[in-house]
Amino acid sequence: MSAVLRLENVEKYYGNSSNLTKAVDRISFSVEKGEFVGIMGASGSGKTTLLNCISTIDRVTAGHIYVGEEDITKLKGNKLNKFRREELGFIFQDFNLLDTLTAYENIALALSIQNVSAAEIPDRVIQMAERLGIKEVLNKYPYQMSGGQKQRVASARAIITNPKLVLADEPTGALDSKAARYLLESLCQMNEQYRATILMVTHDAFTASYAERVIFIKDGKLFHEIRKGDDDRKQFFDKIIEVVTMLGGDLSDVV
Amino acid sequence: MLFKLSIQNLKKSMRDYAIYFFTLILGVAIFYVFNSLEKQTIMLKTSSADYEIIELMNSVMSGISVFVAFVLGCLIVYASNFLMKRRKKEFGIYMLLGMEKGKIARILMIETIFIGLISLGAGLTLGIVVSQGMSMLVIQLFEADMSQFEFIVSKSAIGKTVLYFVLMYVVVLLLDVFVVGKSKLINLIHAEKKVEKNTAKNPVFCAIVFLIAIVVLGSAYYRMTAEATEITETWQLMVEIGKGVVATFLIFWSGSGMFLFVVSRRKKFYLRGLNCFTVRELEGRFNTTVVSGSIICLMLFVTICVLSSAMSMRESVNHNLKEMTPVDVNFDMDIADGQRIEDILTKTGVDTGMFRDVISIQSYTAADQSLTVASTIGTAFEELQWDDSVKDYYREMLDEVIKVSDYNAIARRYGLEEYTLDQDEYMVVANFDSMVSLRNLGLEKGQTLTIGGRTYHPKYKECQDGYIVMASNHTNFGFILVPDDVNLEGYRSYYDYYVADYQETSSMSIEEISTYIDSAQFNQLINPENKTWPSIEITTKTDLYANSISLTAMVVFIGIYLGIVFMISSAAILALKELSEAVDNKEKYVILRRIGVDEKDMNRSILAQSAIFFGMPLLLACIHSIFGIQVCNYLLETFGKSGLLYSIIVTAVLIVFIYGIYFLITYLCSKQMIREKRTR
Repeated sequence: MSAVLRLENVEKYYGNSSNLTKAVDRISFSVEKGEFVGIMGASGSGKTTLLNCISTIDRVTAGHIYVGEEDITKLKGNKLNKFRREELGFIFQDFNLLDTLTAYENIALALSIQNVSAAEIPDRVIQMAERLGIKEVLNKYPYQMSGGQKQRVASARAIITNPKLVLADEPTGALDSKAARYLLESLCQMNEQYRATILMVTHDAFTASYAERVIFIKDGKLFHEIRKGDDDRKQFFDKIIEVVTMLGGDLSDVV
Repeated sequence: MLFKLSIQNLKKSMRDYAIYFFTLILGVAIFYVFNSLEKQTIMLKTSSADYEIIELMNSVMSGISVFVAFVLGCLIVYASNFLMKRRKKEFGIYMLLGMEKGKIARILMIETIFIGLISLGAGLTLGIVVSQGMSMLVIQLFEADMSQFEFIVSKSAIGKTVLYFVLMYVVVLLLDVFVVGKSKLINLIHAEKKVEKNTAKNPVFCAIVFLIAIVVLGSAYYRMTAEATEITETWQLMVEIGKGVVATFLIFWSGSGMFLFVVSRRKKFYLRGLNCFTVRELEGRFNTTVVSGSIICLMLFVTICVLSSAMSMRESVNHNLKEMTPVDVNFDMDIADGQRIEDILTKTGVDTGMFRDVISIQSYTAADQSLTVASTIGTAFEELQWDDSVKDYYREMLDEVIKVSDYNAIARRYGLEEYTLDQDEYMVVANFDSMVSLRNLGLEKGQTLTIGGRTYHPKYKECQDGYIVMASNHTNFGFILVPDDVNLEGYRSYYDYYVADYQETSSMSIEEISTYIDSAQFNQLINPENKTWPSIEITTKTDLYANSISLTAMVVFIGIYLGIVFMISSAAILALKELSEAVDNKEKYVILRRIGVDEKDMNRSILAQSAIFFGMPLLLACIHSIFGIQVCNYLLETFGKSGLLYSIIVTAVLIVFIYGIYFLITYLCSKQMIREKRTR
């Protein structure tokens, strides 16, 4: 299997020479095609910064990020937008749906900005909506939907373009436990059925336990990495908790 | 501390609310410019007739200024209210930190004082500069001497401007304090978090309403143009205007729903690029601006009509003048004791060498005063259901008879139609509309006249066009033409008419003669106080020009004044709305950027949104105007119809300029606003 995402000594510093914060400190890892990877860390550990660098919303201070063969730290301007449009899919904690558009239009927008022909769009949207169980809310506006529905619409939007990499930033952060579980199952389903490569950032052990592999970050550095392997989810969850305990008490008292 | 806070807020607002400041400054400047016209016109050395019209203009201007102050006041209240809404969170934080409402009121007061000082200062400066340009225009319009030009600052206009605007700011301040005072902390804090609800209307219902609006509007258009002659009462006019207003409102109410309904069905267009986003944004915007959109559309409509009517009136008056002033000078006088104008001119020592190609004719009336307007109309007049006092006026108004060849001599000179009459025929020449229709009553009935024992029949069934004394518009009450061989026994000489052009003499050039004849000195000479003859009326081409030009200048000034104020008000409201949307929508563009939309596409979407948002009211106003201008023309018919194209071009240029500036600022600022968030 080829690496979809490869990070080489990525660094991200904030501030100036007198007061320097190393938000991301020489992190290297890679994600294979079709993997479901979780990144865990306390708030302030640099995980969101890392995700922003991968999603090209933020720029790295040093190091390289390869998506496929392309070094995305070298991209500029509209090439960045093109990259985001064609290679990435996003799922955010606060959904980031456009509230003037219906669910259907929100999903369709991801295709229409890629200049997918209008004849093709409706079928693809409806098919995707069926898979994620949101067909009945397609004509509703975001404010008429529940949090779980909104996040599934956002997931549909992220994956409908068949991106190389789906980035999820605390996708369950704003959901109740039932909705969170349903969403995570949807993500797993996306991962299995579409072979979508998913990189999910979370601070929640339960959420992380849905991934196949979890990378732990502490103070901007790679701390540990565990694989699910042949364990079931419960066993994997216990392993994650062990690591979290090792990480120190700071993770558990974070909301 | 409060002071510092206010200043910082202001600095921030300066950038965010450039449009608000721009509008305030423009408002102050315009207010000053038009109120300082008084001062500017006084410096012009013009004839006394001009002074009267200037006085009239100044009083009309000050009346209109009150109205304009009201419009600007409403605009400022609306705009500041709008900005207040946007600052709720800020005030929420102050209150959360424990600031009392009294202190917030003080912050607002300091801010208002600063806004007031800056806008008044900048506005007056701009106004003073612009008014100098205006002076040039005044000089040109009144055809005064350029050497009179000097730099003028009108203290009274400054005083008036400051007074009116301070009043407006005080009202705004009170309203702002009121708004903050009654609001709850929880609402202030969460002001920004409110979820945008898309109150989509039922598309079928929208379509029905839209169609009804179109039908109502169409019928109003039809009534006002094709059936314009049937509208005689004010209330009928009001009904049609009311229909137009209601239809405009309905179109704005249903238009966005209709638009979405139609567009979203065209999948090929709707599902391409950002189109569906753009369409939805516009729908939301129009749905929240139904009332203000309709008002803006109507204001633009009035602006277009007023401006183009003013311009076309100016054009046609100028055009008319050329036609209606064929010679340099007319004298006319009641011949009471047989003295003719020629005799008096000689007697008073006027050098008649300065007149060339003189034509001198006279009219006659019955010596026993039996030839009156009422008697020449005859039974048709007596049958009118008029008040006796009005009828008596016409019963006492002497009519006059002129020999047809005498009239033809003048008509030939003026380039008017000449007439021939058979032995027993007479005709009436008139061009003043109401007199024409009155006299036509008699002519239609074939009313005969008996002069010197012979009976005359009317040659035509209506009055014919023509005049003897020059005027700036059609004011000939009418006179009767009879064959030359008429027996004038029992008739006396009535009016003497003297028509001439100027010619250079050894001592005076034509210009000097013209000035001399128009002067009070000349009037004194031929109409001295101890004169033994009735007053000689002097009508000169130059005088008529000066009068008409003053009148049209006034109309043009008022047109421009109102037009500009209406236009900046409309454009400012649209701009504020659009910009506040841009602030609200920052997040949306962040999302779009994240899912990989190109900057270029986002800019294009913003351009389309601003253009359509600004364009829709203007488009509807233009359609209204196509019919409105026709109505205006109909109303202004006495002034003629020429110069329509010219006036429309001038109006269009003015609109494109002012409206365009607002549009451009809005577009650029919106673009700027959504870009800001990028560096995070």
